Amino acid sequence: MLTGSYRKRLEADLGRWVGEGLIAPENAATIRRSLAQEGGGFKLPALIGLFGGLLIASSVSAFVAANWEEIPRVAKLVMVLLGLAAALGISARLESRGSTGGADAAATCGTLIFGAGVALVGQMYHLPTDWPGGALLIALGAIIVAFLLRSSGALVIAIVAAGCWAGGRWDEGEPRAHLLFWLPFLPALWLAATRHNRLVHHVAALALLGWFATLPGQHAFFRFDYGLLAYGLAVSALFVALGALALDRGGPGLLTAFLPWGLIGLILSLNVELARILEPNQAKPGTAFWLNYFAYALAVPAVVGVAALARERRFAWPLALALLMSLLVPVLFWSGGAVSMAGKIVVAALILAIAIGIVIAGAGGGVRRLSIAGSTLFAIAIVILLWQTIGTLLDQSLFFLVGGALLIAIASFMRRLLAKFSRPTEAAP
Amino acid sequence: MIRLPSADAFTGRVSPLWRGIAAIILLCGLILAMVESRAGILRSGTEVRLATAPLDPRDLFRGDYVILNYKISTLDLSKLDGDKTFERNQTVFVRVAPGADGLAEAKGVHLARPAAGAGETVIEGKVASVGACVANADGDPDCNAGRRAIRVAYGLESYFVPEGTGRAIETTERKRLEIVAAVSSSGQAAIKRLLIDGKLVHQEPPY
Repeated sequence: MLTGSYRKRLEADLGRWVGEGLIAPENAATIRRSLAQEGGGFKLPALIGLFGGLLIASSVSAFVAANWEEIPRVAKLVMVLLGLAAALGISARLESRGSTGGADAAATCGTLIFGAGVALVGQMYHLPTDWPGGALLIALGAIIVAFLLRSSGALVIAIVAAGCWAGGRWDEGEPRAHLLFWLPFLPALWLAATRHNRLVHHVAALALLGWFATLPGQHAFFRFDYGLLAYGLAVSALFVALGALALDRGGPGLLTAFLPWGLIGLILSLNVELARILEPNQAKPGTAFWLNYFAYALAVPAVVGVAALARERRFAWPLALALLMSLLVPVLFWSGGAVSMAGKIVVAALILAIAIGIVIAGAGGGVRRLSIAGSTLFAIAIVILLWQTIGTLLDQSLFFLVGGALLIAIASFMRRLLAKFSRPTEAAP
Repeated sequence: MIRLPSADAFTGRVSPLWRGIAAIILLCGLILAMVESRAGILRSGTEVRLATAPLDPRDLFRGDYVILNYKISTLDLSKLDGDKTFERNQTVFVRVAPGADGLAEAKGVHLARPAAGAGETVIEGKVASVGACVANADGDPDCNAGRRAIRVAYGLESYFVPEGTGRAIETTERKRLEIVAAVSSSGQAAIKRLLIDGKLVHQEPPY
């Protein structure tokens, strides 16, 4: 995977290495040539073309919405169909000429015109506002274009539209919405997994996260129980574990996109769990419902998998430990232990330890976003603990003093610890 | 790591020209199929005259439209034949027959398709809400009279109009507006004509 920021850094490093005499200028040139062959990065003409296509599709959409009476409806329909055919035809022609970026832009434009066509038919026959139904039709057309014309833009539209459809039906209380979602999503997921497009990967990861989020059903959100938070925590841990494992094993690219979203979920849910211990009422054990067992059954093997299968142990082990500790936090609440002072201290210490574990994993594996996520979790946790004290201020002071002393002790042993983990024999697969 | 078979390697065996043509045919086909499913109702459906009243918003992609609230949208179960208990989102079949003024009145509401009596038409709908306020003689909701009615959507509730012309229909008095709907033999309904004071204002051709 060659992202733009990696290219920039490599270019700067190549210059520095040549300057320091680490590599010969001809070697740097060979590396640059090899990168150019791998493609990637964005191509400016295709990007500008895509923006142009989006504007044209918006123009068609606004034209349909205006419902201009001077032109008969059949003429409008023919115009939209011709526009659709022209956009897709141009896409096929550009692809045969080798301009994949341009072909993608034209196919995306064609997909959006198809969406405008669906809206036009709805307007012509005064179909009631059933936007999820329209979204499903657009998802279907977009998947066809994404498959036949290899368009990543159409694939993004397909995933978003399928998500809108399932979300809309879920909102209407359709009980099978969750199973039905997979009907358009599975082929889209397959296409996304075999593409090297980061936007597609992230949109697919978010759609999957949305599916998990709507799984508990509406009534669970109306009658909130902290079991819901534990479910979110377990799903986040699952996403982090899958993303981290994929990152460590060098693919698939789709799974690596799970990491940042899982981390965001993890930080949010852990901090809410931490805030719970401040209120005696909120610290009471909630109830575990079937989805908690389901999510834990997915998350625990994934976390163990990270520890067992990852190539780089100094990255995988601290992360797996941090994730296991995260999964322990709701268990502490369920056991009823978080109501007592000792339980509260354990929860607070556990969450700070998780943050440190994530930072260590990030530093060990050279994954900056992990270090940032760990630091963010740590910082917010400290603010929450300072905002309202658990016991007296004196207790709080003692807690921070012990924690601080412990961290300084870890830091002073860190060099030896890291040196031990990074021995070349252990780093090998 | 498991390697998934790549879709792009598969499509790579067919030339972009043929793939382009296939995509155009499929997408245009989807739109035309949608057109034909509605045009079929308008061509051969039974006509039903419906009393209605307007409300109004705007659809982002389809422009201005008027929401129509029909007399048969609110059904007082105590005055009708058929089933008595319903849930939201259930598909229902409503038997209607012309009243003294020629406008349709509901006769019964059923969960299974009933046989239509002489002069009756069966329209398919979906329960939008249960426990709604019953309507008074003017068609306005009257909660003092009870909450035993259900609200049914027939897919006839939106009427799209050219930009800026929604007001004219919206400000029309309730009793002057009338919709003629075409109802297919399966019970699907589509708006065919809009009348004010019995005069034709909008005619909806099949295409």
